[in-house]
Amino acid sequence: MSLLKKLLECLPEESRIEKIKFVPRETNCLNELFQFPVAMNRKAISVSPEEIRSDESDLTLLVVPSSISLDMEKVTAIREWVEGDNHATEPISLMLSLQHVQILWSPNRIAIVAEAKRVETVQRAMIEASFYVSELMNIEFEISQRWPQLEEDIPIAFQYDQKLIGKKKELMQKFQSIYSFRAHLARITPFLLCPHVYPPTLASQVGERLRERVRVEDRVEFISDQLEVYEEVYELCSQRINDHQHAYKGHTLEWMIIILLLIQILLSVFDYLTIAGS
Amino acid sequence: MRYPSVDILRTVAIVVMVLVHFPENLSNYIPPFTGLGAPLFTFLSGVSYRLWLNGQEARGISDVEISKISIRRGLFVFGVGFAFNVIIWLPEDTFNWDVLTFIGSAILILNLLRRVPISISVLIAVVSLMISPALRATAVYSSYWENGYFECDLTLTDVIIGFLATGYFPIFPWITFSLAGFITATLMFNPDLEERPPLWNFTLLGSGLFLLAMFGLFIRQYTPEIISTHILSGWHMFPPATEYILATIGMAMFLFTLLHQFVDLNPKISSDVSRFRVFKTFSRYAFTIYLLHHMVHLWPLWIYGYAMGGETTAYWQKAMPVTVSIPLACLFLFVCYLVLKRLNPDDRYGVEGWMRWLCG
Repeated sequence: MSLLKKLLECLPEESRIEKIKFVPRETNCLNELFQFPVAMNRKAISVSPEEIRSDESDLTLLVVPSSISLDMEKVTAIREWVEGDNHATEPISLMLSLQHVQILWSPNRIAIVAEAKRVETVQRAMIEASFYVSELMNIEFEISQRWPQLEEDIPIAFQYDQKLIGKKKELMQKFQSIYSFRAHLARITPFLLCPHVYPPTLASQVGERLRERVRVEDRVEFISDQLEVYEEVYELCSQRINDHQHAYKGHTLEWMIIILLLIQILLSVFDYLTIAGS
Repeated sequence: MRYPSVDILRTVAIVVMVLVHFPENLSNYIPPFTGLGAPLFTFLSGVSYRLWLNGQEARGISDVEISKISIRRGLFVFGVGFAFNVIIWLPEDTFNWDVLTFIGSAILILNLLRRVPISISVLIAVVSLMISPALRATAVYSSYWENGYFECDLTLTDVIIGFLATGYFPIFPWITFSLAGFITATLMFNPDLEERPPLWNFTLLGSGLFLLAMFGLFIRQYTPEIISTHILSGWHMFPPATEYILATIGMAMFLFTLLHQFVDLNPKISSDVSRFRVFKTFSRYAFTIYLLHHMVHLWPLWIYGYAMGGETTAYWQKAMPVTVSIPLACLFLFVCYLVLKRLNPDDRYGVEGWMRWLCG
């Protein structure tokens, strides 16, 4: 029996699992849970567990409608499920507790223990906050994977020649991907660093608490600094490539003139040789 | 990387040369396929140089080191060419400018051109083709050729003119063949896959050059005398006529791209190494075979002539009937294969091994 089934058996009867996917806004579907701003072009939809494999959903929610706090044993079981075994970026779960709502959070799995009437509000707030935090983590993950490549490419920022022509397309793709990360970060930053809502509501507090706990402000700053390093290197690389292409075309013309002069010299020398020979 | 297509074509080139030289020097018989081996051989020298360069660059060998090795190799082949002329053709033919001295010079030229834009190499190839008739006319080509063979005075001017325009394999226009191979391989094996032209472009270009040559042969009778004498001068190797150059470059390009498409790029065929054992053996030792086949059939002639008390060259072209010289050429190739296939490629047997040992 799977961990989830075991878990559901020991939880209150109304507990349920909800699988969520983030899809483009224009996708037609009835089970829409949350619509993100236009800039994000995403909406969260609920998909039934039967029609999707667990690794295909973007987020899995365990909703436990309960008016009393769960005992330690059940919390531990929920934590185990939330942490799962496949967290490449953030292996540790967070526990948020406010206004009799308990939330266990990881980037892919969230458990919400709350009164039935508050569940929907908390669920919407967590979907929204989780989406932005996950996007930030994805950028962090992608950037962290690229450091060795960046170090390899640093010499090209200083010198690019004909031998490196085979790397041109690869460098262009890296340049594009770094700028697309920067654009993505710029799009999600207003939502990650949005000011606290006043007067506070349960939904706003849940989002703010999650962002505080994952240190969103610091992380945005760090990732921005890191992206700057990438941008500088790849900007220099693109400049070197453009300079090289420009110089290459210029050299071709110069060489043509040299060749024509050499032909003239050759003909003159040859003429002289034949006269001298005869 | 070793391409079976290059091995196959180099084998064809060396086999053609052996099958031409034996009957020509022993029986004064010119086979119908005469004049097809050398263009293929010189075209492949350009292809091989580019493939060798790509290999060196992939291994991270510095530009300076590549230049040093290229210059050493060029001078080595050039020197072996002179030694070959002296030892095989006897000292009076030292400056006959044979194919080896040409290939040595071509390596030195290609080393210079590898760093300039490819369009410059194309320009030089075209210019070489175009100015050669003018150079030959200026030098009065026929005055250097007696009875169909190159003869020059041992003066500096004649030696230089021979090297540039009137020898057996002068720089102009033979450099066009090496450059054509070099340009073809540079474009075909461009490290930037996006920049590689489709293979059929080269196949079409090869066919186009061949057809252009045929068209030149057809219209030459209708052209003014100055053109039919110097530019469209018919089909001959000495001097290389424009039609001959275009047709043989077209043929080499066509065959090379076709074989590359259907042999090198076909994993089913190219992965079966045993299929190409013969070609690989002949290709690997082509330089050695070129020297060896001259030694094998010319030295006995000179020795026999000397022993009989006459001139050393007394039996040249009249030693035996063609019905014997051609089987002898075949026997030589067969024995060569049996001996060479037993050699370990890593050992320093053959001129190629000495060149790698000496020049890097």
